[in-house]
Amino acid sequence: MQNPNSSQDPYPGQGAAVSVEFPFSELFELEAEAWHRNADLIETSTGQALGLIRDAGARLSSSLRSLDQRVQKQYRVALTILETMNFTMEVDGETLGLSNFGHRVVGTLDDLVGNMLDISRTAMRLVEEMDGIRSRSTEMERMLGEMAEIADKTQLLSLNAAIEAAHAREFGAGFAIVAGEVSKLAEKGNLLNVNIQAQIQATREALAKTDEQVERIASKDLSKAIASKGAAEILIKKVGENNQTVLTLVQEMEQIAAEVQREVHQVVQSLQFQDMVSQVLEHLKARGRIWNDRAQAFRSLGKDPSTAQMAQLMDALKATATLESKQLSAVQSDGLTEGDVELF
Amino acid sequence: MSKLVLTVDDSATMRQLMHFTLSNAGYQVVEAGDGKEALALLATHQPALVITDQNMPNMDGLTFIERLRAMPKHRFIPALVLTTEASPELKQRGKEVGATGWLVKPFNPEKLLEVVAKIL
Repeated sequence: MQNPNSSQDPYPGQGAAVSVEFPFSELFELEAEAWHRNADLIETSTGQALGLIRDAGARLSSSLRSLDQRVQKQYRVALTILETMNFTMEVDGETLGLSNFGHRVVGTLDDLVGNMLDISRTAMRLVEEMDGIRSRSTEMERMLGEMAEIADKTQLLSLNAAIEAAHAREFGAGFAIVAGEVSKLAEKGNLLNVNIQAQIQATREALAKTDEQVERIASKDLSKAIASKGAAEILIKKVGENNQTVLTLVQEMEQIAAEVQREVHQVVQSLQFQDMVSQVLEHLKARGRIWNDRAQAFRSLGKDPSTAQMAQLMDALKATATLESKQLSAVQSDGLTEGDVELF
Repeated sequence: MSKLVLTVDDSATMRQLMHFTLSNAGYQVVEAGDGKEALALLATHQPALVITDQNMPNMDGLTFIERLRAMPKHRFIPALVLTTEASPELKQRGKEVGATGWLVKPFNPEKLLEVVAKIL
């Protein structure tokens, strides 16, 4: 190392051997300070590194335990959701669940629709029969009207016959005409009677058929559909309750997911210990290079250093001390608490 | 289209942690190992934000920001410094070269994302 002040050698004429006036105490003091300084640095740096590693270890351990607990909880909640959605229940001796709920409902609806179609067809036939009964009723009314007419005419003819019977000379001819008319009316009456009887019989038959159709509708076995409807109602109510349970469980899952994210953020913060410890060790390494330079300065003195060489050594040690004091560690903290944020 | 963030740090771990945090929040991320690499990347990328360490080989963070501010195409890109350094002198120098903010390591991901969202 060059001594920039060699032209102002404090110890002129002392080239070959070290003068006893050389300030050895100052040299030793410089060296002692250097040792103290560097011992402090080693202590501080190792303390920092250990602190960072210890803090990282504790935080990571805690985060990983917490993550494990939350993942286990998420798993249990997910299982509960699956169990809730795959529920089964006994209804009228049948095991029902979501898997066969749809099938059961479709079956019930099929039965109901089938019954409705059947009832509809029967009702149409009823209407036809009732129409027929109405027509016959009208016809019967007409025929009864005719009967009434015949009865009136017969009444009249009976009167005439009585009158004719009273007149002796014209008894035979007049009475024969009246008798003929009465005979015609009686025939007509008989025919009407037969028709009316036929209408009555047809009406009775139509009414019997109507009875039959009504009996058919009344005897429709809706008990199965009613039972199915009842089971469907129970199932739908259960599905509604389960949906509420599932909703609550899903909300719980969301909360756990948010907690997991927070723990992951903690892990990210903790893992930065690697960069910080690296910087502490780099700082120590850089200081180690300076120590090497100082050791080299001592080594280059040789067996019998001159005063000038000792002076150079002194200057070198002072320069080293200045260098060391300027070389500050970037890492000030020995823990992983989040750093400050400042926006300019 | 998600916004692009350029992260600059000589620590691979730090780059990985920042990538994880930012990409999970929906940002695209491109990385550089020091200021010199970052300048080379700017030839082909137009990030919306730069996050840089300070102590790096070849070119430190504040020198990189100084060069960034001298480039017409990139001079207005916000630039955050993320470093272990916390000295007032260095922060003042950061302001003078045009840094947008100063974050001290270790960063909290939630806080980092808040700051990024605020700037972008």
